[in-house]
Amino acid sequence: MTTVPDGGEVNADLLADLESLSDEQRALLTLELSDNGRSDEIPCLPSDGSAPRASFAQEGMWYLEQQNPGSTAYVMPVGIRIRGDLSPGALERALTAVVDRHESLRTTFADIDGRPRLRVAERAAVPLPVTDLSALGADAADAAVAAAHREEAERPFDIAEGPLLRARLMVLPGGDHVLLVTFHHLVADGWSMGVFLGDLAAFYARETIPGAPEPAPLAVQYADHAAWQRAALDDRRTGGLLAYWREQFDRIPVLDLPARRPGATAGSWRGSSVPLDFGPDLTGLVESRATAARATPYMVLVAAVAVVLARWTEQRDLLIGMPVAGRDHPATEKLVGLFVNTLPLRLRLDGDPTFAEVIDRVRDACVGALDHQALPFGQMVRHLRAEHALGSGPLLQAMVALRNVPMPVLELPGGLSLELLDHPSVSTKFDICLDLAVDSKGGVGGRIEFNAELLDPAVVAAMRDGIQVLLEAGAERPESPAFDLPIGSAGRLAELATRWSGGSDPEAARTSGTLHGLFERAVDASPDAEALVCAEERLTYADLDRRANRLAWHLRASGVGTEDLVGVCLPRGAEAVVALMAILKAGAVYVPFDPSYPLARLSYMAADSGTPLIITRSSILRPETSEDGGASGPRPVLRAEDGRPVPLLCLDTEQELIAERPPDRPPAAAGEPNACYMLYTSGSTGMPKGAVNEHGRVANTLKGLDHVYGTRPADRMLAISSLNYDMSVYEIFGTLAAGATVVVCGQETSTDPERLYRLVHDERITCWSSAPAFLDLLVGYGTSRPDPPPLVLRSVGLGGDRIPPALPARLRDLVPGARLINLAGMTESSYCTLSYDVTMDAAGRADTAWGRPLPNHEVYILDRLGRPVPEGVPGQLHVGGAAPGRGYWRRPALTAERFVPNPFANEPGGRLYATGDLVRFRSDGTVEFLGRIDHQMKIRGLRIEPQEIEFALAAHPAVDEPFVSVQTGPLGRPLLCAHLTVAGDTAPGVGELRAFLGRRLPGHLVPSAFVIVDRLPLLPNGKLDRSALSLPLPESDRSALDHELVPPKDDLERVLCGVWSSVLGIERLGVQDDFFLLGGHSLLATQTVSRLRDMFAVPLSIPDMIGCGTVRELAGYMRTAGERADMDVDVVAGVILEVLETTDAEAPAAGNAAADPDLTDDQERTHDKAR
Amino acid sequence: MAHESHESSAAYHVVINDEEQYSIWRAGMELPAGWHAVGRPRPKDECLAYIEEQWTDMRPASLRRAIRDS
Repeated sequence: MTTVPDGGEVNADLLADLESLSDEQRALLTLELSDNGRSDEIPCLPSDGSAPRASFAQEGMWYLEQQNPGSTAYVMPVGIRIRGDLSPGALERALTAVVDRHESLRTTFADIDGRPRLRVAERAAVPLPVTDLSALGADAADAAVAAAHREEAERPFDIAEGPLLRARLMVLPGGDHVLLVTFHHLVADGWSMGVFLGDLAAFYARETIPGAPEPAPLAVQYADHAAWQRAALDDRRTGGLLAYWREQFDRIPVLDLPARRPGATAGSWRGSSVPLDFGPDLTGLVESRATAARATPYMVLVAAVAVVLARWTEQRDLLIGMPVAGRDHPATEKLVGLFVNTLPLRLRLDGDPTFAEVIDRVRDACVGALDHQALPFGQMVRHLRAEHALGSGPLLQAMVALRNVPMPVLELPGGLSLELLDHPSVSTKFDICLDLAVDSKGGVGGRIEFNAELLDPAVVAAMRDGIQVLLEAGAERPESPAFDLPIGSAGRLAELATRWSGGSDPEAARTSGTLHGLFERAVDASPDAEALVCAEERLTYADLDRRANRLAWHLRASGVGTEDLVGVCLPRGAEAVVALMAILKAGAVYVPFDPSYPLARLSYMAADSGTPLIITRSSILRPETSEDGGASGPRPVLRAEDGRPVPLLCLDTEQELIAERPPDRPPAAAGEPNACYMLYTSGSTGMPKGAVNEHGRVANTLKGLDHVYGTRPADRMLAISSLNYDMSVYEIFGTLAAGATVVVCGQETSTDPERLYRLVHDERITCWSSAPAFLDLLVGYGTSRPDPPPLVLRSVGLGGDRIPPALPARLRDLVPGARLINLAGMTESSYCTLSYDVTMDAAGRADTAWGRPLPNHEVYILDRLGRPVPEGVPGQLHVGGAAPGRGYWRRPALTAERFVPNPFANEPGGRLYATGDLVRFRSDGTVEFLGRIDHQMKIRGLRIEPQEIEFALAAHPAVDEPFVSVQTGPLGRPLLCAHLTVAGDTAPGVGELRAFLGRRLPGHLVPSAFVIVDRLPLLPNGKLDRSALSLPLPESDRSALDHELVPPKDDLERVLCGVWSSVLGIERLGVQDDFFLLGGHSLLATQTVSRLRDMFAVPLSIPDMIGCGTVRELAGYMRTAGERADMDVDVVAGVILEVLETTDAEAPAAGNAAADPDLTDDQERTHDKAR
Repeated sequence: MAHESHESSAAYHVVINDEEQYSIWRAGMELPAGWHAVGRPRPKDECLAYIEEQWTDMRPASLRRAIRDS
């Protein structure tokens, strides 16, 4: 037992007794022993004039001072209020006597060979300047004292010259005084304040009262203790202690408190505090709980703080600092000096512990830490950093300090009393620090100090209330799961939930109109306004209305009726918009069938939806047979997965029939409560599911968004989003409701930055709506050009994915006036619920919160028991009011599980949609997104349920167990990655797996990388260890590829390799490496094409590029394309390399040629040469 | 994930509102206005299985009535 006092006699019986104790009993005994301290003597250092070494703690602090000369981080001002008739002269003499008594207060620090040595002066007088504030009013005097306190806190010490203590006296109105003494932390600590005050009082008494006793002389001084401590810590002992701490620091977590804004960091030490006061009743409860748990009240308090930190951070592994006096030797108790030590407590709260179990874990951590406290914190950190067991980041961000004895009020004869003043600190070394003491009334009080740059005072106040409420509940119900205990009073949280929900008008869903009705109103208002532009086609509102009416009549004639689900399998374009509008006018519900999806997926959707009809073109869906498909005559059919023939309405073949239908509106067949569209989203059960939405609710969203965008008839919105993706709903129907113009962006243009930019410019687009990846493409193109033609974008809405941190600033550079709006919502709940105007700080850091709800959308953040959470606490976003859609098509159980009763509703029977998003409220009600509570992922705005891909992969005979995740690829891009184990003896080829999935899933669901592993890593609890799965980067590990690296063999291949490596951010790649496997995706493919078109001026399309897959194939394709254009691409490649070599003699291997940003410009000049 | 419900054994009510929409609600907690419990509390899976069987027309009751009457 390491805690047995060094050198003490240990008899065998005692050891046997110790062995028989339970762990808990031993822990308590250990605590008592460490409180009792050591019994051996501290020897005095010989006074031979040599400068003694500083203590470990002083050394650590001294090094910090050398790094930041003139720092005020360790300046400690202390105010002492003196009541009664004071003699300033006697006080000055008493002060000098205290300094005479304590060597620490006469010590300065000399730098000898890069190490600090202590220089102790024989005598040091302390001048006591007096400031007279007696003429001021009471408030002004208090303000002057506070100002003096701040001034002292900000005045550095010269630690080499000293003195490291200074004092001043202020005379208050009415005759009281304030003595302001300022120490450098190198020579004093918190405990020292009590010692200082006691000694000062004693010496003052001796000065003023004849015969008053003098304090007994000190047996040892600080330097003696430092030497003794150093001698006790030999290498062997240090090694043993380090072994314990090394384990405690293994993979330490960084405390992730809710920052008041993005980019707010712990880099600044501006501090603030909120007061805290646990009354005697609560303190009594805590004490009885401590007794019952065989713990100390401090441990119960730390348990509550840990649970609160866990709730606010959503972390279950925490590090909390416990300060200890570091004066375990009795001789040190009467010394002024730096003894205080910090013990890190590693608290793991996984496994859903009860509150009692949390207390147990805290006790174990405390006991372990106290057992190993002989190694001072600074030493521990130095050693561990030296061996790289620790990073350089902040170690301890949270601290809980509890003083067990109240600061004394010293009464002196003559009616004089001394009392420490409580000045809130203006700097803090921690993100959050509870500084508490037992008060004279039997309660516990003090304050929570916090980093004011990082944390919002309202959030800290909520945490304070959380600790209090949790302590009350935990003390009474220790067997409850700790994370089920309340962290706020029910009344306050209910009030908060109502205030921040945004509220709603229960009538909104029934009175907001229909999607086609809003359009028709705009038609009637200005029939000749431009409604739709698509390539060369331009339709006025009246044109679009008439075309949609004819098709609607045709649908009715084909038997389509109210609430029928009608498929639309058309590329984005004018025809598609007409079709959507016609379906709604016919009273039916549109269901997008993406033409790019594999046939297997489309026939699944046809079976699942039970659609009676799919609108398409004969060139898009290859009909299986031709049968009688409906009332309007024979039609081709699509064979649904269940074998049912689904009639296809081909717009080309039925063109003439449609043209004969009447141009006026068919009678209204759908109102607000009717469904308007159903979108398929990735399903966690392995199959996609349809989410049904209703007219009135979506119309409410469109109106709200028109207001957010400020859309006016003069605006021009680019419709770029896929029809399967609900951003398209606003792009089309929101724009048409506002009387503005929809400019439809064709499929290829949407992924080709050059053409996209030209379209946005030429069509004078003012409004934008897309996933961030598309805007990134546009802005990336614009900012990379020397003189891009100006854009007139005004309102830019982004949704579906996190906004890349640098994008807002880049957009601002490209289009200075554009407003950037972050949009958030769910396909299940009327598309969009929250919006936020993205702001930027001076450094260009963007704040991309989710913001506040649209009108009539209610938001609630609930914990796992369905209770509202306080500000800053992560919980699941629930949306109510007019937001929740009808539910999942033909999935009653799933719908019942996710659309839940709204306990806050102003409308009885209302529902909330549980979004699965983990979010939190800022103190002003702004919603911030944190992540998902399930495994759903997003790539480029598209929702991905990994289970769906795993389900499809598992169908491959050679695949045993698949696991799909998003990994970080080159350049920090998210990459869909499949890890899998193999069923038989032969591993399937990567190409084979991709082709297999490609026949079953939409392109965005096909992983870029496949990694074959022997087995999937598991956690001790049997769950998959996600953190152990990573993506082997192709350059470091080629196991994800099925061949060796093949270097380029000619100039053309070298140039292509260079372009690829620059686009993909990979240094080395071979000519047979697969573009997608290297982290490429469709957007990167378009960037590659754009660059190659610039360089070679050969016609090259994106499908060409995707079809090629490797550099070697692409080179072959380009040669053929070059020949057709009468150009030798090999010559061009040679010139490119030549230009590069002459412009930069230091150019890296030719393989990296295209990484040179000047390449593109140089290339302009080389075309002529090559021809 | 820490936020997932840990109480798979907890009992729930099958609940229904006036639009005849089904959902589930944790037993022992006050039922929100406008919702009525159907039967006794039981495990979540059983509640959902019951709903899967019973809730055959997912259109709101008022809409069904309106369509029927038109």
